[in-house]
Amino acid sequence: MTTNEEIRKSLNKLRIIGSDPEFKRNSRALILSYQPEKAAPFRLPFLRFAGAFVILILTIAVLTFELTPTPVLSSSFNPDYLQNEIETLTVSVQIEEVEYRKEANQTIASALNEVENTSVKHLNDSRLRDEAASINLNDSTNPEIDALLETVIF
Amino acid sequence: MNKEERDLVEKARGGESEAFGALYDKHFDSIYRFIFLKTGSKADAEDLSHQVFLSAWQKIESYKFQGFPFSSWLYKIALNAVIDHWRTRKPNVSIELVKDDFLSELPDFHDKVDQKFELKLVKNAIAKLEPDQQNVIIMKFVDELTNKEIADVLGKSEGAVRVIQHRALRQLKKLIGEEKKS
Repeated sequence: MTTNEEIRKSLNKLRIIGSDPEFKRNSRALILSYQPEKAAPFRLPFLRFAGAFVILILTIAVLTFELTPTPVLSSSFNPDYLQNEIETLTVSVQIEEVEYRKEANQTIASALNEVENTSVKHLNDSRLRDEAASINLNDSTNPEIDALLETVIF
Repeated sequence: MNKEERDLVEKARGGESEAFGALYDKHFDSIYRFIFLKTGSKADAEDLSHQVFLSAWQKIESYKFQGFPFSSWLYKIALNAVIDHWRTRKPNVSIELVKDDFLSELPDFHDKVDQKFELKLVKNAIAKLEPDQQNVIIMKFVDELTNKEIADVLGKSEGAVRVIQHRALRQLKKLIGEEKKS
């Protein structure tokens, strides 16, 4: 029966195994004739990490810009908003113009009423004439005014 | 790693070829033996051990001292070389050739035929062990590495190495007994 100790001794005897001396000599000379590889100035793992970090920062910056629009910029370039603005503007202009014309018509109507009313003696005829001259008789915006004017003129 | 070896390694890392030459002289035989006992072929052992030291010399700047001998690093390279060798090549060496190679490696014991025969038995038994058991047996009892060094080479704990060693010896005893009977 082989004991552990006997096995260990046999195993230890295997240390006599060795390579051919000539081969060992030639192998050594050949290996030492090569130049070892030089390490990169910056460690590759560090470069990899730094590069990955830069890409991550850039990605976050781009996503932040895309997903978080600024109010001024977006409202300026939002076509729907622009359309609403324009429509609102047009309506505002139209309403203001109507208000103006309404006021103007009232003023003119008042003036013409005064002129028509012969019972009241106007003190400044030249002023009335100037006013009449400034009125655009071809403006057919208000038919009531047209009728009054015909009364006055004719 | 003792101071002398550490100095040699530092010089070799600095590009001094003769410093690496000294390391080569110190460790080549054990690496060669390890590979020979794993592959059973003299030609493969020569080829692979040459590759191991060439690779170590070319990558010496990447070597970092981590509290283990320089030989631990060489054994790791050797282990990977043998694994790659078996992956890329079919083991086409016959048992007879293995025996002849093995016997030719031994010194000429004119009057110790029994000893040669005994060593042949042990060698054949080692070849039949599982890879981890082979590694532990060769490094522990042939090359006399410590359990700590073996654990570092194999990437295992010292406890695991002791367990593998115990099982390997038991198996080896069984295989040698069977070899003797046959």
